[in-house]
Amino acid sequence: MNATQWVRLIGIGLLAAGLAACAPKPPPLPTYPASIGAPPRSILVIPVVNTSTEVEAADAFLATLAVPLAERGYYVFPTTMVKRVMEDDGLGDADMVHAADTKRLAEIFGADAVLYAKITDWNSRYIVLAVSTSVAIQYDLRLGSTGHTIWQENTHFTHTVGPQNSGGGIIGALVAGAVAAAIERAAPAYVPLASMANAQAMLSHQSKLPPGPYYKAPQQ
Amino acid sequence: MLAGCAPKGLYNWGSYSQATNKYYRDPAQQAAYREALQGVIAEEQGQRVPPGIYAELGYLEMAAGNTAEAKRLFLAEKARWPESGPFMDRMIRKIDDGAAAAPSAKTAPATS
Repeated sequence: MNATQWVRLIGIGLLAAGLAACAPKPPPLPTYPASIGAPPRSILVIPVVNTSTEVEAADAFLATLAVPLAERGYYVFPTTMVKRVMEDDGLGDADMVHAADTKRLAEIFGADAVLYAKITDWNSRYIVLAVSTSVAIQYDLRLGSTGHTIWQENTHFTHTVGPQNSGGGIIGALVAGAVAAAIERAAPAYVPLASMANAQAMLSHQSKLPPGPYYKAPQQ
Repeated sequence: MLAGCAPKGLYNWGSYSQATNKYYRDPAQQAAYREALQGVIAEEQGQRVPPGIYAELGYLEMAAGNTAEAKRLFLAEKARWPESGPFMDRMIRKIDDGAAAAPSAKTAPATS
């Protein structure tokens, strides 16, 4: 056995050990109750209602929703196109769309289910010398045929950037805090945080969202 | 992080998420968004194109007036994802109606 083969073998061994170590037995997947009838195959994501103070949050968050729902195994209607088509049909206002009849919305697009998402927090707070960014989302999936809720979840994620221990006295700490604030402003952590919220709600082992028809257990 | 443990997803999304986000914030980013959609389609060679991607690109083509290409993409979405059938049919009808209506629109000038 030459050196290359050894390296390869060690690599395979490490990989196998790593996989074994980080593959806990997943809990059983949630399922829809039989009472809802045929489980939904497709999800229409409608524009997001935003009660936070950040005006741009709704669109930024809408852009994060298709991927986790598709990865959960659903057909997801093209979110950007749906938004534009709704605007053309006079349904440009998210509050109005959320107030509309679910059955009618589902019928227009031929969707089995409709996802209502609401942002309740999307904020960066300057706390002493650090910046704390948080997002909070309410998800509500309704069945197109009845309008009844078949899954709902509330998530809240916070991310803090700031000097852990600041050398250089109070001035140094203030500078570090200001730098942290500038970083958060320049590259807001909102979208990554929102993506984490989605993953927790829809893709994690804790998720109560039953998988869709195209779901496959993650391959290691 | 533990790259070896990261579960592999159902689809390769390429730069779809970032490009969509940038496009929402700035409509001038449409070219990059279009390229991201085309990239996902090229990468996956049909069999594994994620939900909505053909349709999103088709809608861009429709808005740009490339109706034949838009129709082709809406039909591709429908073939790949039967769940999209009613919606794609509706959009194709819209294109066909628009094409039929266009000549008469020219002969009847707007009065407003």
